[in-house]
Amino acid sequence: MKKSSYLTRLSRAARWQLPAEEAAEVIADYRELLFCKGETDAQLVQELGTPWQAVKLAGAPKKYRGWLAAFSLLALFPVVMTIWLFAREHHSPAAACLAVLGALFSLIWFQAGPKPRARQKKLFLFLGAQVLFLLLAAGVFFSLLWLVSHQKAVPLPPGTMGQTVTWGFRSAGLFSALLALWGLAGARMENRAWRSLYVMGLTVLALCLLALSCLHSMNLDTSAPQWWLPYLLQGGVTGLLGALLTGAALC
Amino acid sequence: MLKKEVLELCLLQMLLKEDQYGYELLKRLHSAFPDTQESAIYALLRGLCREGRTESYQGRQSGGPARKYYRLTPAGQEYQKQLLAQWQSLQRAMEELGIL
Repeated sequence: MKKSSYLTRLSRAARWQLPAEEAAEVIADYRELLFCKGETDAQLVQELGTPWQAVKLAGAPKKYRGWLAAFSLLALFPVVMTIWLFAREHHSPAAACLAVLGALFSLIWFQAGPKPRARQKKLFLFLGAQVLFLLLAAGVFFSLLWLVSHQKAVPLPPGTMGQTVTWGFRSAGLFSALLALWGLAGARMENRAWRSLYVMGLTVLALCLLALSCLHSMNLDTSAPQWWLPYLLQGGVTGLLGALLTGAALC
Repeated sequence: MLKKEVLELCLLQMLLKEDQYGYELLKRLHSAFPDTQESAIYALLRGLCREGRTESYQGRQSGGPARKYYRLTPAGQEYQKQLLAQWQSLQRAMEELGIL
C-alpha cells in the first residue's frame, strides 16, 4: 500500500470512527509519521497495522460504540419506512411521525458536529436531485388524481398504470432512503449540514408512502366532494415540516 | 504490571530526560519492542496526552508537516514515579521467587 493511499484510507476511517476534532488530530499525526517514514510501502501495514486498526487503537472505544448505536437508531427510520414501501400496508401517518422523529433526533445528535466551512456543492447536488425526484413524483401523482377525479381515460391500461406508478414511488422512496443514509455518513465524516440530506430523504420517503397509501386505498370515494382533502392536508403538513427541518439542518 | 504499563513507563522515562519528537519516540520504542506495532505505541502516547500526563506542542518545521513534540506534565511525572515503583516492586518479587 502506498503512503498516500494509506493516508486516504486512514483519513476515511478516522472521520468515521472518531469525533471531528480527534479525527483531524489523528490524521495530522499520521501525516507527519508517514512523512518521516523511509520504509518501503510494503512495510507500512506491517509497522503500523491497517488504517482501520490504527484508528481503532487511537480512539476511545466507548465513544465509537456510542456513535454506532446512534447511527443504527438513525438508520432504522429510513430502513423501516423502506420496508413499508414494499409492504401491503403503507402506514402513512406512522411514517410521517417516524420522519419527524428521525429528523429531530438527527438535528440534536449532529448539533455538536463541525459547521460547514465552504460551499457544499456535492450536498446541494444531492438535495437538488431529491427535490427533482419529489417534483417528478408529485407531478405524476397529481396528474393521476386529476385524471381519476375527472373520470378521464388514463394513457395506459389501468393495471399497467397502477403498477408503473407504484414502482415509480417505490423507486423514488428507495433512492431517498439511500440518500438519507448517505447524508448520515456525510454528517459524521464531513460536516453537520449533511444531515439535511437525511431529513429530506425521510420527508420524501414519508410523502412516497402517503402517495402509495392514497393510490392503494380501497376506500376512495371520488364522488364525495373534496375526498382528497385529508391526503393533501397530511402531505402538506409533512412536506412543510420536512422543508423547515431540512432548512434547520443546513444551518 | 502488564505490557501497556511497561510501555507507558518507557515513554514517560524517555520524556523525563528531554522533550521529544513524536516519531522519534515511536521509532525508539518500536526498536526496543519490535512485536508492538507503532500504532499501538502512538495510541498509548495519545492516551497519556488525553489524561493530561503529557502535552504536545508544535516544533520547528523541516520542509514537511510541522513537527509535534511531547513533554511531561507534573501529573505525568507523578505517574512515572508510580509506575517505576510498581516495576521495582515487581522486579523484587520476581527476584525473590528466583525468576530473575
